[in-house]
Amino acid sequence: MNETPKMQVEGEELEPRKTGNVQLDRLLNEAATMPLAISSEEMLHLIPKSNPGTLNRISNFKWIITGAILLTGIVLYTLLSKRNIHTVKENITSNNPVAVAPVGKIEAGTEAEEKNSTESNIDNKSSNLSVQKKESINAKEVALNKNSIYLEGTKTVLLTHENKIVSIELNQFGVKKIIDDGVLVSANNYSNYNEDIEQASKRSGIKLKLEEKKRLSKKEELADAIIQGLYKENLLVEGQSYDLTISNDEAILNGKVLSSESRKKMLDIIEQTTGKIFPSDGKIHIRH
Amino acid sequence: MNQGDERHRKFLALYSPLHERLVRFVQVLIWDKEEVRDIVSDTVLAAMEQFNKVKHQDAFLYYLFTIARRKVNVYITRKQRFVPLDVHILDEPIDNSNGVLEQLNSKELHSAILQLPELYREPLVLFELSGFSIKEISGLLTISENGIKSRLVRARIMLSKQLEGELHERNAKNAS
Repeated sequence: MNETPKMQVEGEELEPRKTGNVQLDRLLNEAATMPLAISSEEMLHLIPKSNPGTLNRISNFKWIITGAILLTGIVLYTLLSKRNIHTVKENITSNNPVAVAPVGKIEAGTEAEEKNSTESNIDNKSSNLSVQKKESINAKEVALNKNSIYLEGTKTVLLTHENKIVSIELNQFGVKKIIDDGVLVSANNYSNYNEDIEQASKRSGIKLKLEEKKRLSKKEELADAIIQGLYKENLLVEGQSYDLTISNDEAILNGKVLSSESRKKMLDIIEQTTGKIFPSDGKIHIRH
Repeated sequence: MNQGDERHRKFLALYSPLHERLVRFVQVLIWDKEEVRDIVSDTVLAAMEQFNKVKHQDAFLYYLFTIARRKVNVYITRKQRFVPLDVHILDEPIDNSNGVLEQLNSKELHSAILQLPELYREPLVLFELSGFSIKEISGLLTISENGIKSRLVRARIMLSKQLEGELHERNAKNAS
């Protein structure tokens, strides 16, 4: 069919699938009358499985669980506040941090730092009642976290990524497990899945706890500050991958030991960013 | 009838008339049947979860399609890496003197639509295939009605050019 199409011009009243181009209209009409990929009946069968009524009951159930957690918390708080400081110390050191790193991977540094800071508080002020109470509250939070993981449940979200299925198991305290195309991903590599984790968090409706977000944010800030410091010292070129380990004794960047002067500068940056003295046995590992 | 059943009934009453429009919107952009089913299901379930936030029935259309648009765009962004059309293509007259579009099918229409920049793609699909009026698209995309009309006209021109290009490319491959 030979035809010179007349496309409608701005200002004219537009009508669907009447473009003035007969062939384009034909294709659009075909698409508009194609069989539906999912029929209305099929959809109606899906809806009752998790209808708003069910969701409402789930919501009510969540309130009951939350109430139970709070009640447990109050009981634990009462009990733990009566226990001695050594028990508290054990509880704190048993807290497992959630392994998600937004930019680079910081493996042990901040945990070591937090632990050190807490321990020094305990050692220095073990006789101080107010400090003991504060640490008891921390212990209560630890106990609550452990309960919540089981009570509120962990969700698994399946994502398709380049024809592979990525399974992400998470709860509000962070990522529990990632399986990429049948292969269990090491926690050290979770940072490669940040976009997927965010997507899984949205799809599952699980929001990471504020404390976790703050912790991740602090880690990100610290990693950024250290990397910027390396750029400034011309120890690293932008875009270059890196594997950096810093402790009080030595700093190793991509397998090379940095000079004492460079190491001190990095430690200064860490202390300025965190606002805390770098612990004697602290260690930070960042890689990208 | 308990509160949950009542909400369920209300949801179905609002959703049922929009089902076909929703599926057509998703399937012309996604094409893969299983993915379409997943995205439509996800959209409906997400819409149900927050259904109590919809205060006015009139807003349900925008509410539902806002969720669908987000999910479709996330999917497209992840799956496709398309190069937007050159803007100067709009200045060229449409030439279909050989009736080349006759040889194209719906799959190629889908590919051509995906090549359109998002700001043209969405109004086009909503208007041509999902039965949205100009006013409804204007409300959904928060763009003036005149703006929507302009985009539709441009989208149609770009789509014709894109389809022609696809066909020429295919013919060239066949010839070689």
